[in-house]
This record gives sequence, C-alpha cells and structure tokens, in this order.
Amino acid sequence: MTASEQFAGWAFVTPGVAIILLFWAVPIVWSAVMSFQSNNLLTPSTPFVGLKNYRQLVHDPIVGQAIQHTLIYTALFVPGTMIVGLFLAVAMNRQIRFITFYRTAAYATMAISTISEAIVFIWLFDPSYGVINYFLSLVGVPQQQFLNSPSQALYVIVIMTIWGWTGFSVVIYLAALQGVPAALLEAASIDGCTAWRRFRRVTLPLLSPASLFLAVWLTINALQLFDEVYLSTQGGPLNATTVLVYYLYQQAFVDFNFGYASAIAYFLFLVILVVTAIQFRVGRRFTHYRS
Amino acid sequence: MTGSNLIADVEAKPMPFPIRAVRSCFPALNTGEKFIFLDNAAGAQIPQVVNLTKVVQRPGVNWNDFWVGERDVATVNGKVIGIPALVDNLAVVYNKKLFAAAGLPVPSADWTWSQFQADAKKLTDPAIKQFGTAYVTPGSEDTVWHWEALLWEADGQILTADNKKAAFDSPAGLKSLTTLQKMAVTDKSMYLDPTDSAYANLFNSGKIGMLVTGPWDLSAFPNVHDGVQVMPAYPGAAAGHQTISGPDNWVVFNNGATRVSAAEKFLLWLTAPAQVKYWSLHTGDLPTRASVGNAAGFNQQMDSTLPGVSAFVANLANVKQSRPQIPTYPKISQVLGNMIVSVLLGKSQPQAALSSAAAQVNQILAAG
Repeated sequence: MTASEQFAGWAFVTPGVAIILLFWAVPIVWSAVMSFQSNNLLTPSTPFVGLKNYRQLVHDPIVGQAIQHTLIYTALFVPGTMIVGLFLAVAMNRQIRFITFYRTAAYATMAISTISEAIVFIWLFDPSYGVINYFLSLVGVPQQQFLNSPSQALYVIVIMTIWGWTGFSVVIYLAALQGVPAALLEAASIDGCTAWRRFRRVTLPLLSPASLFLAVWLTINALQLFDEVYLSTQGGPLNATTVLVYYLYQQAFVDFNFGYASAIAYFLFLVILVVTAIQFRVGRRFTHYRS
Repeated sequence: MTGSNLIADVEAKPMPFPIRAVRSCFPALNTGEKFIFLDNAAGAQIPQVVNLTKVVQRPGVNWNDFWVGERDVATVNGKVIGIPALVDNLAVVYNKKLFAAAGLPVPSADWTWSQFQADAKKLTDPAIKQFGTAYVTPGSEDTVWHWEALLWEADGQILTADNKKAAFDSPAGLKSLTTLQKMAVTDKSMYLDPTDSAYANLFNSGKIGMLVTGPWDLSAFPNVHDGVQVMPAYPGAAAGHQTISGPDNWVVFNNGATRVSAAEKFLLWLTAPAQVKYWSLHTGDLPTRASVGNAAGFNQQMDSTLPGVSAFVANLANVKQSRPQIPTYPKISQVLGNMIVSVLLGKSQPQAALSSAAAQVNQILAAG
C-alpha cells in the first residue's frame, strides 16, 4: 500500500471515526470518570468521591428492586420471544398461499415504532375500556387492573415487548430454517422418525447457532429495557416496573445525580458482560455448527 | 431568538421529556444552547445564571404586576433568577352534557370538595363505563401537584417554612388524601390513569364528567361541550379556593457583559404588558401579568381564542403558594408520588401513607 493510498483510506474513514469517537468513546470515558464524582452537570464543582457512588448502589433498596424487576423481565422476555418466534417461523417455513404476506406481517411488529406499540397496548390492557378485560369477562374472569396493579404491570410489559420483538426472532429463525438440509430430514423420515422427533433431533440442533445468537442479543436488549416502561408506566405503580435503566434515567435526568447514574450504568455494563460471557460459554456446549 | 445564545427557559416543575435533561447538560459544557428546560432550583445552581434581582426593580418593569405564584418561583434563595415566560394553573373542566344527563346543576364558584365527590359519584355509571373524574397515577410530579393544590386548600403545607422538615403529615394532609381515597377506592368514581395520557381522550369521548387539569388540555376536547370552574374548597378552611401553578421563566446566562445587557433589555421588552397581551391573545396562553389579565374586555377576547380559558385567567388570582424551591424537590416528589398512588390503588391507608412518606422526606431533607 502506498502512502497516498493510506492517506486516502484514512480520509474516507475519518468522518465515521470522528463521529464514533465523539458519540461513543467520549461518553464511555466521561461517564466512567463521572461515576467516581459527585456531579450534577450544573455546577462547576465535581469533587472526586472515590467508590462512594458504587457503595451507595449496594445499599440502595430501589436498586435491589430494579435488579429484581430486570431479572424477572429478562427471564420471561428472552425465552418468550424465542419460543413464539420459533413457533411462527416453523409455521411459516412452508410453501402455502400468501406466505410472503404472512412473513411480512410477522416482521411488521419490528417496523412499528415503540410509541405506537405502547399506545396500542395501553388501550388493550386498560382496566375499564380494554378489550383484554372484555374477553376475560366472557369467560368469567373478574376485571384485572393490569398497568394499575403493582403485581401485574411488569408482566403486561413482558407481553408488550415479546409482541414487539417477535418479528425479529421470526426472521432469524426463518433464515436458519432455510439452512436445514432437506436430505437430513428425509433420511430421518426413512429411518422412521415421527415429525416431532425430526424437529426435536434434527431441526432444533441445527437451529442452535441462531438460538444462541437470539439468546445473547435479546438478553442484552432486555437488560436495557427502558422505552416501554417510560411510555406506559413511568416505573410505577409504586416502582413495580422500575428496571435498572429506568432508575438510571431517573437518577440522571430527574434528580441530576449524574455521578450516581454513571455508576449504575457501569454496574449494568458489568452485568451484561458477565451474563453474555456465561451465555457464550454455556451455549457453546449446546451449539452445533455444521462444517 | 437569533443572534443571542443567552436565553433559556427554566421550568418550575420536572418536565416529563428526556429532551429537557439532554439539553440541560449544555450550560455546563458552555456550548451556547439557546433554550434549556430544567428545574428552577437546580437551574439556580448554575453559576452562569445571571441574578436579575436588580433588573426587575428597574423603573417601568413593575415586578409586582407578575402573579405572586410566578414571582415566588422566579425567586430562589431570595435571588430573582428569571422573568416569567409562561404560566398555568389547575381548575375543574367539566362536561356540561353529562351534568345535565345526571340531573346535576353545573359547579358553582363556591363549591366544596364534598360536592365534587357527590357529583363524581352521581356521574359514575359502570354500565356505560362512565367515570365522575380521573386522576393521573404514574407517581410522577403530575401525580403530586394535583394533590398539593388540595393540601393547600385544606390549610396544609408541603414542608415547614424553613424547608427543613416535612409538614404534610398533618390533619390537612389527611383530609386531602382522604378526599381522593373516597373517590378512588370507596366510590370508584375516579378513573386512574397510570399512563398520564388516556384521561384526555376519555374526557373528549364523553366518558369522564370532571377533570382537574390545566388550560393546555382545553384544545384537546373538541368533541365535548365543556365548562371550567375553580377548584372546590374545604368549608371552614382559611385557604379558600386555591390552585397550583407551574410557571416557566426566561433565564439569562452570562456569556459576557454586552450580551447580558442586550438579553436583559430584550427580555424586559418581551415581558412588557403590550407583548404579554399580544402573545396571550394569539396563542391562548395565560397572561403572565395581572394588569393584562384584569383589563376590561380581555377575558372575552381570550375566550374567542380558546373557549373556556378565561376561567383559568381568573383562577390565576387563586395561585397563592408555590412548591418548595429546593434542589431536593424532585426526590421529595417521588416519595409523594408513591404515597398518593399507594392510597389511590387501595394499597395503604392515608394516615399510614402520610407517616411513612414524611419519614422518608425528612431523611432526604436531612441528607441535603
């Protein structure tokens, strides 16, 4: 490579690199620094407080609650989205009429903005006017409070987000299903496998790379849940839907505790790092890559 | 506001939009962002915020012409940090058709909370899913300030005069919280809205009889024939009919003496009576000056801009108190939000909720 080629190469990537540095690298480093400061971004004084923010995090009861809510949410959302996605993908992995339409419809949930999604679900689950309570009343279930109930609100958000992410997992699984060799399935049939055993012993193992990818990707997103909470319950009722990122937002942008909020952000970063590492390690054992 | 980067709009109450916070980062960076939204008391901590105490005392400004609720909020620790830009307040917007259908006379200016409660009960009809009133229950400041007006009307206070201790755990606190509890829990005449948005659509669909809300919502009700009345009072309470306001201020940032003086000059022009009147008549925003609001014929003109808004203009005289101007208020607000929601959802009794919230608020105040 000549020097002028080198120069041209750098010239082409510089705008991109500058943007990445400015909007990614700078905030990452800055928030790391802030997490050791008492900083409200308003006053010039930003005293270094060492590990105080991190110690506070350990003793903050709402952080404890937020971690609990985040874990419950993740534990339901990730398998939920994968199972629903897999089911729909298998159902749509065949040549029937209007299949393109069905596939597009399944993916449409990804194209719909979170705001529209939240508004629709707010009305579906409205205790008095919502259609869900209407259907429940038809089978004799009494009126549920849903987003007004501290014990139900989080589960409504789980359902809302599973719906929103299903399209994504459908597309991933559909692509993976196309890669399952017909010869293997046929051989299994000839050996006398039932349809279920074929799915369980041949298809599912061959989908495992896609499953691992989805598990990791959806978990990272689940741990960062914010939009749906902000739009539907604002962390309520009575903190029942306060997840880590929502609490971080509250600390930073309502209470102006940017130091403490940065500490929460770094704690979350560590959690995601550890969880992802575990997922890859455990997942490797169950993942089959065809050579 | 071209050519000047000195002026900002500082909010008196926490704004529900993240943009507020994103923008509020800028003064610290000194990037010259033109408008920012942030809490007053927090804003007052920014060293670049110019002290306008002497500016508003200049001849011709007539500082006392601004409503007392505005002046209170513009003043933090005795320093005037802003000039009122926008003002609002809470009143009762009611559906005339639903009142007539229930055989009820429309609310009068001397009505009481027990009348409000009785009306709400009569306006409620589970068969057609109609509610007497509504309350927003995300637990945010929007939940809190609605209750604070009731607390003041019951002769109560949020904090002690020195802002050192909680004062709402009082007979007035109990009375105000019990009023809400009766409607939400006992009568079930109150639609609880955790999303802070559904209530307006329901009112506009004729499903809610009365709303305690502000002038900004009036234009959202084109489908109902509505009337506006002041908030009810508690009989025997010295406070009478009161309300609460969340005024916004123009704030000047110090980016050099020349710019400061230009910005001050511009703001004094912008907030002079002639401009205030022009602005209000063209936007429907309430007038920030009493002389404008009280001028003969002004209310009729306002009503032709935005029907019903004149009652909110008159209601500005009932803004007699303001929320504590302290940096810890957002934290206190979160405690109060949970206190109110726990009572409205029937999860706790008013007295127990008040005591527990007061203990938490005292802790926040002690920590500073």
